[in-house]
Amino acid sequence: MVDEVDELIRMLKDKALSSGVRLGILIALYYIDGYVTFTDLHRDLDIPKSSLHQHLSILQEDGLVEFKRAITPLGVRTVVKITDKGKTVIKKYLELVKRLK
Amino acid sequence: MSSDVHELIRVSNDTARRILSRELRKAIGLYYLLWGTYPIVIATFYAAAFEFSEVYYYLIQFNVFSIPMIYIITMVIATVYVFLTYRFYITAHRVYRSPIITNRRRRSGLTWTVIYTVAIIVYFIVIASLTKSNNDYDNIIAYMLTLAFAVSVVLNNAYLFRSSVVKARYYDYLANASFLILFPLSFMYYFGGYILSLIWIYAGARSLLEVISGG
Repeated sequence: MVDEVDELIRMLKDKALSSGVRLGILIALYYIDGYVTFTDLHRDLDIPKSSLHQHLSILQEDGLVEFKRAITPLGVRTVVKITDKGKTVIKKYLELVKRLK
Repeated sequence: MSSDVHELIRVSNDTARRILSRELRKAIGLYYLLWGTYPIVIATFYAAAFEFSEVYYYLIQFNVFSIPMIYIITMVIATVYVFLTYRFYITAHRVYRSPIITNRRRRSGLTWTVIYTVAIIVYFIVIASLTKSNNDYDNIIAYMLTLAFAVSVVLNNAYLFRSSVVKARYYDYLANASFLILFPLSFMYYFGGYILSLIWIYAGARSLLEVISGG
């Protein structure tokens, strides 16, 4: 139990996961398991575009998400997707939280 | 654990809930729009076949396992719709597995998938049985089976709203209530299918507007 708490705390000290917004985005992308547009994320979270861009850039720098320009039914949009590394990190995080519950 | 960690987990769950609920509402909207177009697609196909009487005659006369070709094509179109619907259910199932669901019921998503698949098979049998006979007794059986199918679809939809990720709106009630009443009736009164189609397209449009407006 103590080991798991330590491991979770150590995990959440990582720059990419140290913000609730970034962790939440990553959890949501893990369950969606597909592309989400930047516009949709901005609309969902109701935070300034610059803040969202910063959060996503930090996640991208760690290789947890990837984003690119893509053609969607509403036109060309920036889309975000979780990477395999991101999936592994979130899977581990969810397992730890589950065990602690 | 420190309060900082608790707060971080709380904020992350709240953030994930916001994104997932919006994505699920979008998927529900597309699901309504998809099935809303089904009667229109079938009617267009029938009208097109009827315009070319030789084609229509061939589709009625040519049987595969004693089922006229025209019904086989209808089933093929339905299969494409069912396949697209599964994509919606996969999204819903993924969201349902997420930690933001607090009132998860014991019955697993797999059990529901099995129940739903059985219901769809029953639906196909009804379509096939309707083509073989026109007597009242068979029609009553077909009606009862179709009603059972409608109930299973509505229960499945209700299950999504019970998960509390997406709030049921009046157009969700409208879409499901109309399906329960009009879908079985549409076998006897075709116009019921078109009214159902309009209601589902309306529910789909309202769902997507909810996503866009952030309601």
